Amino acid sequence: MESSSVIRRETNKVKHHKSSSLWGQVIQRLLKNNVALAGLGFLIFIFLFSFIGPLFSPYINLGVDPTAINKPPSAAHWLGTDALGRDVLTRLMLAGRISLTVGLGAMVMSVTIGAILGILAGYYRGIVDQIVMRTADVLMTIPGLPLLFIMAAVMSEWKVPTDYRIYIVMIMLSLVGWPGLARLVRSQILSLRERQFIQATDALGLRDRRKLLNHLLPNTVPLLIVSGTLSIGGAILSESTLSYFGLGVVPPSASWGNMITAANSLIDFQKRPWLWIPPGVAIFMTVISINLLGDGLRDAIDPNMKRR
Amino acid sequence: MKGYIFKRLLYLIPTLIGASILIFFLYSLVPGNFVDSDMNLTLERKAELYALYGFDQPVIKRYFIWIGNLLQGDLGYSLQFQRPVDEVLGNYIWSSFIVALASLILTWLIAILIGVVSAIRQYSVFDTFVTILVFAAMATPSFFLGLMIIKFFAVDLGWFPAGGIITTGSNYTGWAYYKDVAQHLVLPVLVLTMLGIGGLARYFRTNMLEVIKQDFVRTARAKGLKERVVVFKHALRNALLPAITLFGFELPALFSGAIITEQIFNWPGVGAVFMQAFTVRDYPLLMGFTMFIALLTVFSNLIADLLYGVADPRVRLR
Repeated sequence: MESSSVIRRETNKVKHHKSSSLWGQVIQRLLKNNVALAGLGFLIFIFLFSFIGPLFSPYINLGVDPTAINKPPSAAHWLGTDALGRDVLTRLMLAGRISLTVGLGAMVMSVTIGAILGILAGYYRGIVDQIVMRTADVLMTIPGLPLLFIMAAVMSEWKVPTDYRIYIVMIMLSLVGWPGLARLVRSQILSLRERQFIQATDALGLRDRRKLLNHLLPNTVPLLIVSGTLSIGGAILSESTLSYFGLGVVPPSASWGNMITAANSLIDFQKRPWLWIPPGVAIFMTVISINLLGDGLRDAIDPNMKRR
Repeated sequence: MKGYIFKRLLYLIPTLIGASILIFFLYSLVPGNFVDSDMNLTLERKAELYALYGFDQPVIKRYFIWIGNLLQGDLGYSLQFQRPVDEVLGNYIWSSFIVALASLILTWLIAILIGVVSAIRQYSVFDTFVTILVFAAMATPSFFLGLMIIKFFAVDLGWFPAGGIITTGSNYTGWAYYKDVAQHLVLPVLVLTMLGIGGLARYFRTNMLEVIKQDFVRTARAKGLKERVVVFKHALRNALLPAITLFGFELPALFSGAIITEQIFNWPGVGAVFMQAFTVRDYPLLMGFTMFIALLTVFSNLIADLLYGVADPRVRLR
């Protein structure tokens, strides 16, 4: 009896020991954080809802249905139908695909640009640093929303097909998003390059490429993961604002933001809340989950990192 | 210190030149212009107007004309209002300012209170509840929050007007006028406050948590001071100090107008005027306004940095 419990304790210890690599510890800490897990759970749900959900919808190929226009929620249409007789729930799923893709895409692009420029500026300093950081400064002096409006107007002139509009929106969001990230990465690199392990790479005479990619970049990964996660939420919010004002994703492609434009018509606003409240709630729930997960990741990766 | 300020002011010059170039050329890339948007004009009249507004000049030349006028304090002439840009901004900026100021004061007061209470009762029900609210506020798109608030408070309950600054068709004077404006002010201020409170409350909570652990707070308690005095006099002061830099960053928001909120509530502020100018492509107004905001941002960053040194003398400004 006793010996078995001792053995069990021993094996527990071994298990614990085995998984205590840096990322193992991070995952363990994250698994203890119920709030972050709830966020993660909802995100998994919303991804399945948006990407797998439409496959189960009976209305996916139906599209416009003139016999069911502006119907309130019912057993057949759980969230009612819109002015063209389209099922709002199905549209919400399809819109989710686009909003989530834009959020993720914009994040990947701005993290890539921000990380590359931040590392180059922090490592080479001098003229490279001046050019990168002054550009970032200039971009940051102009408020984000007017900047996005201008870019949206310029890029609508290119007459891209509506299907490709989402890539334009991603590019715009990442152009506005990279300066903040580049600043973060640069300051991290500035402190890292004074550390001994980088001096060691100097002494070993490693090439710059190896120093940057194998030694500096991996050390910025925790920072990139946290700020990247949080920036998805910001990108989804910006996309919805742009699309609401008709400057982002435009119909017939649905995004959560442009579904809310239904609220601009007085009758829909007052009498048909099922048209515009569900997409708003979807944005809200998605962004809140992303933020909770991002916050949990920050705590798990570096418990000492200052919360803001 | 003087040397530092001088150096920073010198650094501002390239940033502002960069911003002016970016602003001008971005706007010059935007398709369409004010003259073309009027379908009733004959071709001759169009050519005449092009010459009058200088649209027929090359972009580079127009930039130098614009920047030259800007340096003499001339922001340009609004095509849509047919008035100088500074006059137009002057007309609308104060209605934006009232909303921004009211919500700024409310945001800070409530955020400080929430931050302090949730710090001294860390992990309590109140703290958890507030944390949830804070996250909720940060996750709501501002236009959706505005719409929900209008639906709830203006349409369903009918407590406050849904938009505008005065009741349409009314000509109140004196107190009745102020009361009318105040009623229209409530909902936009509510939205801006709800949006702003989250980050700030979290900031104060973190600061307060740090301060409360320090020795001087323990000393104050050991002296037998009342908990209220310890918290609000000794701890809060030290938690507030670093926040004065944030105050610097808030400066542009006071004058820049809240584009989305003003648009949703039909509030006649600079944000709404910006959107309107954008639809009719009133470039002088758009460029003048954007440049004005860039200028404010740059200076408020400088002020924030200077205040940072004042708040914490350990920070050396070089």
